[in-house]
Amino acid sequence: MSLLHIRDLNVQFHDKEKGQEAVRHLSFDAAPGEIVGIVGESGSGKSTAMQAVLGLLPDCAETVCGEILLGDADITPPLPGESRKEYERKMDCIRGNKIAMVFQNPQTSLNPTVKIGRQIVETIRAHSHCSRTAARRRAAELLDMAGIHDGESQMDKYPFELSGGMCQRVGIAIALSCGPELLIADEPTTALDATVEKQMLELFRRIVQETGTAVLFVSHNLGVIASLCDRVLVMHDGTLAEEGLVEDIFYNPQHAYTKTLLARAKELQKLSACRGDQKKLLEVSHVSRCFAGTGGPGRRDMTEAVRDVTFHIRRGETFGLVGESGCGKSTLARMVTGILAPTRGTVLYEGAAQPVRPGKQNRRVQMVFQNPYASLNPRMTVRDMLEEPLLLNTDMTEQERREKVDSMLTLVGLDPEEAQRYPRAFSGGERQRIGIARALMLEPGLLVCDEPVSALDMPIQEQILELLEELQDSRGITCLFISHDLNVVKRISSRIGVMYAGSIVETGHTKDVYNDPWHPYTKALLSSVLVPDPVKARRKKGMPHREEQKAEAFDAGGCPFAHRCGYALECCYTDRPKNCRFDGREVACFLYSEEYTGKRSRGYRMTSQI
Amino acid sequence: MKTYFRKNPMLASGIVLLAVMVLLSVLIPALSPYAATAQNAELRNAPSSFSHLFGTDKFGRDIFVRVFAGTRISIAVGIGSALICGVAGILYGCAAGYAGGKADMLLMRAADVIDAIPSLLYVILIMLVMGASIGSILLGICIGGWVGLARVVRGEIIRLKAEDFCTAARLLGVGNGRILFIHLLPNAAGPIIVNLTLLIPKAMFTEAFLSFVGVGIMAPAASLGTLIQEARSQIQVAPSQMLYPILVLCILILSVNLTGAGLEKTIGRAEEGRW
Repeated sequence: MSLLHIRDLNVQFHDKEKGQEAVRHLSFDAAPGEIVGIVGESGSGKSTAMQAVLGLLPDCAETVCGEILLGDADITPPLPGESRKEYERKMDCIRGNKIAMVFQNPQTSLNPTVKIGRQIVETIRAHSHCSRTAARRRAAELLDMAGIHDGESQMDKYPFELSGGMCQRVGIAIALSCGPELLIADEPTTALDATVEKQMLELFRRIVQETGTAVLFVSHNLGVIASLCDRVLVMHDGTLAEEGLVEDIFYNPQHAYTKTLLARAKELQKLSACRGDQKKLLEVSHVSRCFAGTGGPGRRDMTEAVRDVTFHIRRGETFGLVGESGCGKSTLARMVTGILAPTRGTVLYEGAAQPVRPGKQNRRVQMVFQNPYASLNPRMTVRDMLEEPLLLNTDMTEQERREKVDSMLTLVGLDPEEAQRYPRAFSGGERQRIGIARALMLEPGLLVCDEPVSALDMPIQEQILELLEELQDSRGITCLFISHDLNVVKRISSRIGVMYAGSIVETGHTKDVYNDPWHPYTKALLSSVLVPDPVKARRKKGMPHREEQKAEAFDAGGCPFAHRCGYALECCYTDRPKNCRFDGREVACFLYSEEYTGKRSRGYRMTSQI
Repeated sequence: MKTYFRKNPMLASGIVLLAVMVLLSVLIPALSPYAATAQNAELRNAPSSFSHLFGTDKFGRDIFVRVFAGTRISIAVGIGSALICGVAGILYGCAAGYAGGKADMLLMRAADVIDAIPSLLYVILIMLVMGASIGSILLGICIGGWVGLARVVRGEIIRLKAEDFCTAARLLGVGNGRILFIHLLPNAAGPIIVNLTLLIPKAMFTEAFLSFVGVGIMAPAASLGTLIQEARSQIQVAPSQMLYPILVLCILILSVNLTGAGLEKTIGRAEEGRW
């Protein structure tokens, strides 16, 4: 008995002269209480298909569909040219009541000027006749169901006062407010941090158990799909490539596209080889950076984005820096490059301090940026962009510059013929290659990569990582690799540092840290890594966690993680833990300090305390 | 041409109209047998005829020539003020936006002070001091006219300054001037061009208004404003005398506005990546 029944769904976009088929011949079913995952690259038609089900496509989209049934109701969209009036009236009753949607970006899908309580209450009252107080009581219940336990007090807050995860919970509460039979979730965890993502998936699972709704879960992340869904649809270029139970898809894929997708994901899982010698290239010691708040000139509250960070990078290695959004990774990267000056502490490159004003000497540190769409000047051709650093810093002749640009483009895997084109002619992955080529033009010693693959699709991610590795092998470039994605960091770096709320809580060799995390936060982070393997993903247990909070550096003393830590001691709330060093590994946690474990002999071997 | 017209009818028709007006204003006063100020006592308030297309006014002057001589002044004032305001506004906005911090605060507050005084006041004051001429009208319009553009440019520069490509350029050793003029300004070209185009009709209207009130171009020189003012006394005898300059002024301002709106659309489209 299926709840949603779709046969032969086609969507075509008409954009002036050129037409574009976004979805072709899509047919599938979803049963009540089932979580159906829809996976595919961006542009494969996942979201378009979902919008077609809801009837939310813009006018330039033409939907031709065999039939869509929801339970007993026929919600087949009218053929182009037919009257949409009756369909729209029907959909107004269906949307919200029977089908609800959870959006990708929780902070933009809620109205920022209305308190969340009112947003939920209004949704309830729009669909059912009940008094304001009854609706409010129901709203508190819904928030509790969505994992916000002090719902009553949270209802008086505005969306911008809540963290991304909390906003998404509110979004889910709104979606659940009318007891929908079908919940469509369009990449609901993509914008969230790893630890929150994990909790969110647990929440979805619980909701399905409690309410028996069917969930269509759209995601590009195979790990998310593997750990949550019962059945999986793999979409490729607007068509359904493969459909099956999650175990069948992951362990016994039939379609060639599914196979390549899984192979790419598996490659992301492997550990990188250790590189680098013992000589230190970059030394960052006790660096802090404060930003003035927006409180006006009278009452300025300073926020400390980075607090007392110490680490070093050896020549030729890749140092991975991992942490949640807002933990100060990017600020640290900017201080390493010299764009920002540290408030306290020093950054030494080859033993010399990094000057704040970019001068001749710090062209040795270059940067690859996160967003390939914003990091290239849209009004310059690729050749102009790549020639510019040579023009300004070297005495090369025009011929030499041209040759250098051509060879660099070939090196990063682009055709030198295309150098005359503007950035908008290139795809995201190609743009990122151009960004890398530009960073390499001056032969830098250290390349700071600030989330270079976060904006890209999984197969493209792997290609860019491979390119970075090749470049490292052939040119001996040292890399500081920053990412929030643990899989990516693990894949490329030989040593990693884990950042939380402005401080580095643990550093060590990637292998050691991954196999045996010492700091409670590292453990929490690692337990939330989603592997594209259904059996393994489901076996993983979550950490004892408390209510989530915004991960900001606290002004008060004490360990920043203490409020979320399941192992917090009394001293964690009052004193800051010092860095404890055990050959090659550093942990900032009281569990490893001498006060806690007692005096140690010289030959003592530290093991994990948690 | 035809496909272009269909793609952006506003821009195409605006440019065609404007080109026709410019051409007429250049050619007609130059080629006409009558001078703009030559009086003919025998032909007062004559109706339209082949020798005087728009007829003559109360002094027997040919209105056809006078209208297009006035259009010359309008176009000169419009384009001249757009150029001066454009250069001043772009440079000032760049300086404020790129410097940021205290310099930005001081510069923009100074601009606010200049902008707070109505521009008519400047114009009338300058007229009184320097006498009525195109130069003093231009100066009067331009004293406060650049502030709006400076604000737009400043906003754009501040937005673009924070973009990653600007950071990348700084890391590669690009100097301030080059960042500003090669990396930032071309990316702000869209809003700048649109705002610049919209300055032109504003200046044309101000000139016509001042001449109408009697503090602008002085008789016997012909400006569209003075023509309308002079026709006022003859409205009961020959109402068509007022019709022609008003019509030409309307077409002129319409054509520039159409061009501006069309440019805005084209640039918007170009920025989305569809040329």
